[in-house]
Amino acid sequence: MLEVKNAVKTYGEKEAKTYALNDASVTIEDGSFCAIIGPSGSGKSTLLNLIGGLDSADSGNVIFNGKDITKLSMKERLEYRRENLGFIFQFYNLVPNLTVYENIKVCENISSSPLDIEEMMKVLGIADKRDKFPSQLSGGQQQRCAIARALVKNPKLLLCDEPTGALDTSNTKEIMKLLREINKKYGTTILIVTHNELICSISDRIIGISDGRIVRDEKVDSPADPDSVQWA
Amino acid sequence: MCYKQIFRELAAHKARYIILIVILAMSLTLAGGNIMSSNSIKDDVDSYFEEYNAQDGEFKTFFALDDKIIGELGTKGVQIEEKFYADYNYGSDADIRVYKVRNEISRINVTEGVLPANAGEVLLERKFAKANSVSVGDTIEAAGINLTVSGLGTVPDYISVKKNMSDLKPDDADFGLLFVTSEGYDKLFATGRSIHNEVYEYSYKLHGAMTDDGLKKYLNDVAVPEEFVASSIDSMLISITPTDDNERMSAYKADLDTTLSVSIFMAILLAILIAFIISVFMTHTIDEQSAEIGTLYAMGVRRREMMRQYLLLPTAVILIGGIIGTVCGYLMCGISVDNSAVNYSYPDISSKFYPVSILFGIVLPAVFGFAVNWLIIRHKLNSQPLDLLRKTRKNVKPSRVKIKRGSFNRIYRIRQLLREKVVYIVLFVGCFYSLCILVFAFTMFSGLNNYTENCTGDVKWSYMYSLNSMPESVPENAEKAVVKTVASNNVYSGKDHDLTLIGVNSESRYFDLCGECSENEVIISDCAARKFDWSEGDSVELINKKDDSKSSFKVKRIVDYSASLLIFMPEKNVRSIYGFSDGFFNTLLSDEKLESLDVRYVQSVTKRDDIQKAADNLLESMWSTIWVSLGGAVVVFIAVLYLLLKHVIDKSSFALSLMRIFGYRDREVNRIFVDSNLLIVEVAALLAVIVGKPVIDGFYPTLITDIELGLDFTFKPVIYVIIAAVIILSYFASTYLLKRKLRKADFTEVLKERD
Repeated sequence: MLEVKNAVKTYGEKEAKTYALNDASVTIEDGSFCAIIGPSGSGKSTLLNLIGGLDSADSGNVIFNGKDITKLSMKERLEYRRENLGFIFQFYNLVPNLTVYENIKVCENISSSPLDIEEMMKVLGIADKRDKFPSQLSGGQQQRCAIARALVKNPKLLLCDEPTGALDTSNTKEIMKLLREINKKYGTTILIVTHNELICSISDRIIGISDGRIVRDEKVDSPADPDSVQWA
Repeated sequence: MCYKQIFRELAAHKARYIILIVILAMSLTLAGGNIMSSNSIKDDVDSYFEEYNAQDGEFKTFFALDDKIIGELGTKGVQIEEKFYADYNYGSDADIRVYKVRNEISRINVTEGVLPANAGEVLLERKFAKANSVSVGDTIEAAGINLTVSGLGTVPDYISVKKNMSDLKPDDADFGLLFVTSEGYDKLFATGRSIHNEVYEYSYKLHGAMTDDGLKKYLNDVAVPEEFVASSIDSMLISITPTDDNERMSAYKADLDTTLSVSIFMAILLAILIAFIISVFMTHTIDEQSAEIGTLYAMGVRRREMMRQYLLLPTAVILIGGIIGTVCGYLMCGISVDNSAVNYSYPDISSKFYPVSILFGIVLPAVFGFAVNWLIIRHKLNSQPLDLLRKTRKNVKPSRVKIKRGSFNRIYRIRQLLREKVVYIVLFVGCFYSLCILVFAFTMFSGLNNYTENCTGDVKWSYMYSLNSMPESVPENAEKAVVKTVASNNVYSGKDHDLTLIGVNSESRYFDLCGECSENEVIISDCAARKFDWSEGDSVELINKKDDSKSSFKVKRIVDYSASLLIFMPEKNVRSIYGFSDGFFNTLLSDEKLESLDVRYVQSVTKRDDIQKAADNLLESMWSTIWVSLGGAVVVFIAVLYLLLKHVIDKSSFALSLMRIFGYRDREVNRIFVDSNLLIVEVAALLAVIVGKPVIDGFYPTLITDIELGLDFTFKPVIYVIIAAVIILSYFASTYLLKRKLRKADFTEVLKERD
């Protein structure tokens, strides 16, 4: 389980002080599929970075499976990310001079119990692209590769920062379908930061954030099927 | 884009450009200092020769020339002045050579005090005085006579104060010159305590009236006095040495020229290497700014205008390094002069600025740097505006080489190598260059150290007496030998070098010829074989220095004898080939000092211990050069490795950032980005040893043609271990700095990649 308790994160000083997170609290159960939604500058990515151990809070706690992330040293946070997390970014962030297979191997290499790369590529529909470089792939294919890379570690928690932000509607649908399937198949807890309300409709949980505060926290009893959503 | 960008780029990468400027400045300081010091020395010594009427040459005779001969030469326009001398023991270990004060030729340059005015006064050569802590006003003892030091000075015919022409290097503490009045000289000689007989040496000035060869022929034709005909001496002349062939007067030039050409060559090579390193950084900058460059092209900026922009920084860096180096070279010229003066008795040298140092220190490096970067940047900027505008980091075309499955580390390393192949090529060349300098330093050391360790191992005699005529009685414990100085052409210098031909008897205690040689065969020492590049079976041409006639011989065998350039043949062959009578000998060898030998027959004495001492001094005199080369190699190696690998790491910041996010540990990141480069260092080191060493061994003899030895540059096994240790330590120093940088790398770069 993941708990964020009264997290505060500021930037700047005195008059220029900005609250990226202002006493934000949220609890996320294992295996849930959550959308974190809010306008630009609301603090969504800051929240994700805190949860991911990439940033430190000025005050408050982030507790993952009983361990307070905010109290960890940089080295311990690295181990936390290594053992538990997968990341997916808006612009894929693949290594340009590695093939699809090799990009996935980046994370397989550091996992103590990785999933099978070949299986992963099959599930994500990129097995025939294994020897291609990112520059030879479409946006959707690149994002699939990035998802495979994140999942091969068999992470407990998958953090997705605008995973469809750079994709067209068709690819957006395919990626969201995939993420839902992964959530069901592997039981991975998935947090998706997004602008896109349609993604909320397929999520189990919607967390709304505005001016650094959690303004909405609702469970969705019957999330929609990605196939049934009008993504355009 | 404007010229301010240069300063911003410099400021943004201060450390990198400071390191490059410092390394370049250091090497150009050395080169510039050597240019200015060598020219200052040559000019001042030329003026000194002019002012003190340096001789055109000198010659030795078996007997004093009578006035009639000197008069005859005078009428022909040749000026002669006698400079007889005798050597005495000084203190416990040293020898001194006593001359009368010269009046006309090769006069004394008094640097302190005055010339001696009476028989109780003496002037010392100043380096010997300093080495023995003697000052003006002190009293010294020579041949049992107390003498007051009236002054210190130098003489043109002893720029290198060597006891024998064939000595390796002067030894300031153990040999020096004393100048006394005529009465003082006679008083000293009358004590009978000279080591050998008085040497009848003359200096001469030709004044264009005759050539050196003409004078030689004239002296050779002078009849031997009746009373000496029976002594088997067929000519008055022992030797004649024109100034150009006089090691004491001219060796300094060869030494300076060698040091100069090596330091200029290495500095220019380093400037070119630095130009390549800078070009690596510039191409990366151009890649990063490709969108801006494309925009400017689209708006009509021409390629040559863009090139001017990007050529400014590399040219500026090399110019700055060159200017600092040249200025420092001038400021430190005095140190360079002092360094050279360790081995030479120069007059006072004033450091002067020579415009040629601007050519080698500033212009040439800048021209080479400009040329290298012009070629590379021109190629890089040769793109269409749209291609540049579309070109982003992510769209850089990777190498499409397929890599078979393997560990991730291996795959990533290969991809990295392919992507950064230019950088790794420059890295490899830089490592190879610096490791070759390392091998060069150790080659220098090994040649001298091997000589020092082995020089007396094969020398079985303890004393070698060169005689001016055959004594009536020979001490029982002495062995007779026939020795002749010959010359042969050295393939490395193109000049003739002297060798010692020893005629050995078959029962010699000291030389084992192991079988006979026919009249056209010789056995040579390994020292001579290396010096002249002779092998068994080769034909060698020996020049008789007396009449310049040439004789050819076949090398029958090469024997171990590291001490000097020796050729052996049976004594009867030497006598018959060179016209000596049966039973003639002119050298005595012994295990102890021959107390009973009449010194009137002795021309010079060489001791086995002196050979070892000279070898030790030679090695000691080269330590500073060895250390400078070693230090320079290590600094360049670490700098090249650090700068280029840091550049690769900077370029990989995105991947590095990702790996940090994913949870890669320090050790894993180090293994991928740093430790994997050990292979390049290993290959460069192996090549430096396997390829570089034989090349260095091949050309090194051309650098030391003035040393009368053929050195053995073979590395002992321990040298390889030391080289490996130096390389490994330098590598770890460099990688330690890199790993510190890696630890500080963060992941903000990846996190910034969002809308």
